[in-house]
Order: sequence, then structure tokens, then C-alpha cells
Amino acid sequence: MKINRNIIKCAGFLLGLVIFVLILSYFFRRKDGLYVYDSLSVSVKTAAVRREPDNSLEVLFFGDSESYSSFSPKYLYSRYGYSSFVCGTAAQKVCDSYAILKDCFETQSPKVVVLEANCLFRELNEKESNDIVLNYLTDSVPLFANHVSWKRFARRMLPKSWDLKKQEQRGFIVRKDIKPYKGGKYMQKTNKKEKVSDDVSYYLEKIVALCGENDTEFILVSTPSAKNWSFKKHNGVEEWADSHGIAYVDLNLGKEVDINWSKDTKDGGDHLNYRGAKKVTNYIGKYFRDNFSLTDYREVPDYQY
Amino acid sequence: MEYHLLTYSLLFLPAVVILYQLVQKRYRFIVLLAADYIFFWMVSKWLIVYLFIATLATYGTGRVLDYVSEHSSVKGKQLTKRKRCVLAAGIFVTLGMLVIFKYLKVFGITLLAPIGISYYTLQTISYMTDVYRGTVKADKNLARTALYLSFFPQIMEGPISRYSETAESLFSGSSIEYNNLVYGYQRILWGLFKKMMVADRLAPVIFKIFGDYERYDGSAVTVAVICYTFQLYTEFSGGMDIILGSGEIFGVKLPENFRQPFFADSAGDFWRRWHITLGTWLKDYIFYPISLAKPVKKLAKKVKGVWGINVSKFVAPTIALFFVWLSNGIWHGAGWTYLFYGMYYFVLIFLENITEAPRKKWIARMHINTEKIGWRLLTGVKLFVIINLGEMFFRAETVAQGFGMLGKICTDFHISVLKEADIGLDKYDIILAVASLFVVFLVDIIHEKGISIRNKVASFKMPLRWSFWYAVIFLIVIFGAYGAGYTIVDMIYAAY
Repeated sequence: MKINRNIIKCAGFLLGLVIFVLILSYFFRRKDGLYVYDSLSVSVKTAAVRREPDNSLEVLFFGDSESYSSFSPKYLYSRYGYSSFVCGTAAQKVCDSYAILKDCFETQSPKVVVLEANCLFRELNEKESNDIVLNYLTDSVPLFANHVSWKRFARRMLPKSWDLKKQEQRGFIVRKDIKPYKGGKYMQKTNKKEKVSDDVSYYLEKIVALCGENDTEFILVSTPSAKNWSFKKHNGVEEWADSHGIAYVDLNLGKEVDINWSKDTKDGGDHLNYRGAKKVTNYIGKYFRDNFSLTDYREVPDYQY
Repeated sequence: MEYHLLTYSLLFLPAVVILYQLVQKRYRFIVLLAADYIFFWMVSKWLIVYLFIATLATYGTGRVLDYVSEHSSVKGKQLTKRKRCVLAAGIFVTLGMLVIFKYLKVFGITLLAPIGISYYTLQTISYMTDVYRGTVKADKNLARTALYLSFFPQIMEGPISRYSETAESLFSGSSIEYNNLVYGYQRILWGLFKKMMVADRLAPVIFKIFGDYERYDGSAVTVAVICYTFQLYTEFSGGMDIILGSGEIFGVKLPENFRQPFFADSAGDFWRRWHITLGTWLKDYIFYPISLAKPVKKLAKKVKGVWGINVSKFVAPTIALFFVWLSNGIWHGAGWTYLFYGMYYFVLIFLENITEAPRKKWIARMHINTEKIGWRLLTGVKLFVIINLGEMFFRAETVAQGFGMLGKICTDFHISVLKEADIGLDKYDIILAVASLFVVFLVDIIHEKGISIRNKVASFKMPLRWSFWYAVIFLIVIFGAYGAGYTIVDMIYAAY
């Protein structure tokens, strides 16, 4: 009898646990129903874009840390007058780029969307640990998948001064440190390819379609990164871009941007510092001027950066 | 598989518990042993062979020691000499494997070591020595010895138990009691709280600043050092909670490894509260044998003749203490930082020992009440600084880095810079880490007062009791440092 009672107690406790998980999962689910990898970064970025005046951004940059280390909206505005925003986040996966872009179209009508191509080689469902139970839960149960949304709830409750980042740089991070790259030539010409995976291609196609529906140009750009980039990756992206009729610019080939690897990197060739970012932004501004008709907001009296 | 993974507590452990309970009592030890070896295999694959060798060597040494004691034709010193040879041979085999796997690194040869070799090797030595000393009877049952050496919850990072503490309960096959199951899982939950709410949350700070300390101000370096001390405590003691909770489920009472270390009043006291089973092992198998060894006693006698009793009384304990801390440092690994760490505590405890009498006199003369909060706070702060300095060198890549960081703290400390420093945590994570640490220390205070929280909660009526545990579970699920943006850090002490 006592054993049965204990079993019933255990089962009751576990049942209660499941019910609570289901209830909380309802509150923690993503309302857009999209699959995202890093729900916190996505919500932080979408909230940041929504704080910008409606239809004020003509260029949106996406990608992983390479994007917010390479494209400086403030510098782009000062040189060319273009209004832009970096929607890139740390280790961004293309599924997250798609989720952010979809939200951006709710309030903005960008003319150009730029995706930094390094994120095309990031697994969509990358797992930090080999914990199969936790991995299953984070894949299937919204409460586990989006648990960090508590920060979003907390932010709503706290004073505005608690906002994580100031918007002044529009998503770019200014880093002036110098740590030279000491390796050799990293772009050794080869015919080998590192292919863009089917999962990544699926989301890329969704991004292309979304841009098409909104009359937005979509381009792929590889910013200089001696540690992350290679000719094999270049060939893989080029193949995908050619087969889908997408423009692709690789700034690692050494023709377009003259990166001085002893001064323009903050961490030994992984990311660019502010010096390097200015060179890339200058080039991309020129590219926009030559290929698209973007507004020079410096000439618009009411526009305030 | 590591203990903090949900795969362990929600899949592997329940599977073993159910199987264990389903089979007849006399076969339960087989379930446990099979679980031990499957667990070992999952982590270390073919290196399990070395565990078998260690088990056979330990068992065999025990049996031979028993045989020699009972059947040897010689008695007295001759018998002791013979037994000592047998013991030395046994220790040579098990310790030899540890040395090969752990210390050949010094010569540039790095081998992948079997999991827990640093822990089960100490258990083999304690068992063989106890049989030699006659405090434990040699086990005739190989399975019981194997169970003692390989119990899956403790194989990766201890606690280092004695044969007399766990072997019988592991072998007995007692039924799983409802209370043990509930209490065991409650303790596992507490371990997960420490690991997921504090240890893994602090990891980016430590990784970032220890990895590139020169870029940071001394204030940020100080924060990283303090974070590391807290990470190590919550990680290791949290791991112990999971391990001891797992043992509790099977009715196996594993020895405690932590007893509120930050409430210690001296470095010596700290080590009686931190990694307790390593400390007691070193005391029983290094400190006492050395301090009672004939050459040491002879030396103490000589010193007494020259400098008197006040000096000679420190000779034997100091020599033994030196070897204890040398062993402690080396046990952690083949690195100068570990050796430095060991010698750091040797010097501190040596100074504490030789100044104990004058300090007591001074306190009495000054009429200081050592029980007063002010004094305790002062000693607490002093000890906290000592602990953090030690952990800084322990975590540093090199001793030079340790001194470099110390230099930063002493010469380049600007608290105003800290606000702008990128330490790898956002404000929300900082608040949660601090709040969780507050909870951990609140629980430590309650435990220090001798109150059992689990017993207290168990006395609540069911709705309140369940609400409490649901709250803890969802606190971890919602606020835990896991998933995108966080890194689940491997068990730190499993690497030693």
C-alpha cells in the first residue's frame, strides 16, 4: 500500500511538472512561429530596429560578429549619407537572420539587405554540449528553447536606462585594439569548395524570396578575416550565389580593400578593428553608390542621425 | 557523460535506478557494477582496461597481504618487511599508471587518461594500506572491491572514499527507499542550481579575462579572480551535491567533500572544509607516516638537543606538511602553477602553525573577543584574500601569468574603469549571478548553524512542499545559463 502511495505521489509530482512546463511554454513560445537558434539575440535586435523611426533605414546588414566588426553605419552616413543598421549578432545563424529580417520588414522598407557570408558556414542547430536530453528539450519545448526571454520581460519592467546597448552606432561595435595577424597568405587559390549546406540554403532562399516580395536587393559580402575565410569558402559561396543569381562580393581577394593585417585587426586576424571597418565601410559605400540609388540623408533637412 | 548533464540525471541515473530496483536483492550489485563499467566505457572507452588492472592489483594485493599475515613463517619485523614489499608492489602498479598518464606530460608525452584515475588510484592506495595496517580486512569478493573502486557517481571527481565507508553498502543491494530517492534528487537539484545558475554563468568572465588579462584593468582582473573562486566552489561543490545525491538514492552514504569553506578562520581550517576527502587522505597516508617515520623523529631529536623543545616540536609536522602540500600540488597536475599552489598553502599553514601560540597570547592580552562579528569579519576578509590569491595562481596558465595578474591588481587598479569594461556578462546575468551566489551563501549560513533545509522543507504540508520544489526547478529552467549564448563548462575537477 505504502509503495503504491509513493508511486502515486511521484507520478503526481511529475504530472504537475509537465503541466507547468506546458503552461510556461505557452508564454515562452515565439509568436511568429519561426525557428530561431538564439531567441534572445533575435529579440534584442528586432527591438533595437523597432526603436528606429519607421521607414528610415535603407540598408540592413546581417551576419555574425564579422558584420558588426566590419560595417559602421555611422561612418557610412558620414561618408555617403546612407542610413543603415547592423542586424548582425554574435555567431548568428541564417535562420536568425531570416527571423530578424522578417520583423524588420514590419517597420522598415530597406532597399538593400547585405548578408556577411561567414554565417553561411555555421550549423543552424549548433550544440555546445553533448547533453542529448537538454538538446532534445531545447529543440522541442519552447520553455527550454526560449528561456532567456526572461531578459526581454525584465527589460520591459526595468527603467529605459537599463537598455543593453546604446543605439548611436546602429549595431556596430567600435573596437580600436590592435593585435596583428601573423599568419601567412590565407587565400590560397584552389578549385576545392566548401559547399553551403542544404539547411543554410533553405533559409537563404527564404531570405531571397522575402527580399523579392519587398523589392529589396540582396547581396552577399565576405568581409576580410584572415582567420575565418578561405578560398574554399569563397568558391562555395560563389557557386551558391551564381546558381541563385545573387551578387557576391568577396573583400578577402585583396583587390577591393587594402587591409593591413598588422594594424587593421583587433584579434590577430579574426575580426577587423575600427581602422579596418572604416576601409570596408568605405568600399561598401562606393559599391552602393555605383549599383543602387540610395538616398543621401545628409541632404535631407529633417533627418537626424 | 558528466554529472551535470540532464542526460545523466534524467536518463542514465533513472534507468539504473529502475533496473536496480527490479532485480532481486542478491543480483543488484551486478546492476551497479554493470552501470559503473558502462558509464566508464561511455567516457573512456578502451581505457577501461586500466581500471580493470587497478582493480585486480588492488584486490590481489589485499589477498596476498592477508595470506602473508596468516601463513608466513616469519614474525615481527621480518613479517612487516615482507608485507611492506607486497604493499609497495601493489602501490607501484596503481600509482605507476597514474604517473604514466598524468606526469609523462613533463617529458612532452601527452596520453589520454582514463576518467577519474586521480581519484580511484588514491582509493586503491588507501584500501591496500588499510589492509597492510590491519584496519581493514582484505576482501575475498572481487566484485565488492570492483564496486568500491568504480561506483559511477563518484568515479569522475570523487569524493575519495574509504573502503570501510562505502564497500558494504554498495554490495548489499538494499532496496531504494522513497525518502532516499526524493532526498537524493533534491540534492541533485541543488547541485544543478549551483552549476547552472552560478558556475556556468560566470564562465565567460573567467575565460575572457584570464585569457587576455593584459588588456584589462586591475579592477577587472580582480573581478575575474573572485569569479573564478566562486565558479570553482559552486562547480565543484555542486558536482559533489549531484554525486552525493546519486549515492543517497542507492542508500550509499558517500563522504562530504565541502563544509562551508568560506566560513573558515584560517588557511588550515579552510582545507578542513574544502576538498575534505583529499585533505584527510593526505593526512592519513602522507602526513602521519612521514611525521612518525624514524629519520624524521631522529632529526627532531637532534634539533631538540640544539634549539630546544620549542623549535623541535615543529620539525616532524613541518616536514610532513611539506610533503602533504607537495603531493597536493602535484596531484592536481604536472604544472608549475599547481606546485606553486601547493607551496603557497604550505608556507601559509606553516606560518599559522608557528605563530599560533604568540597570536593566542596577543589576542588574550588585547582582550579581543574572537566570537564578535567584527573580528570574524576581519578574519573572513583576510582568508578571502588568501583564497583568491591562491586560486589566481591555480587557474593561471603559468606562474608568470599569476604574478602578471597580481601586478595588474596592485599597480593598475581603477574601479571607475570597471563600469565600462567588457567582462563578458550583461547586467542581467550579473544580477542573477550575484543573487544566486547570495542564495548559495544563505544556504551555507543555514548549514553552518546545523540546520538541514531538506528536513525543514520535508516538514511542510504537501502543497507548500511541492510548490517549493517546483519553484526551484523552474528557477533553474528559466534562469539557468544554458542554450544559445551560454556555454556549459566541463567539470573542472574531472580534469585533475
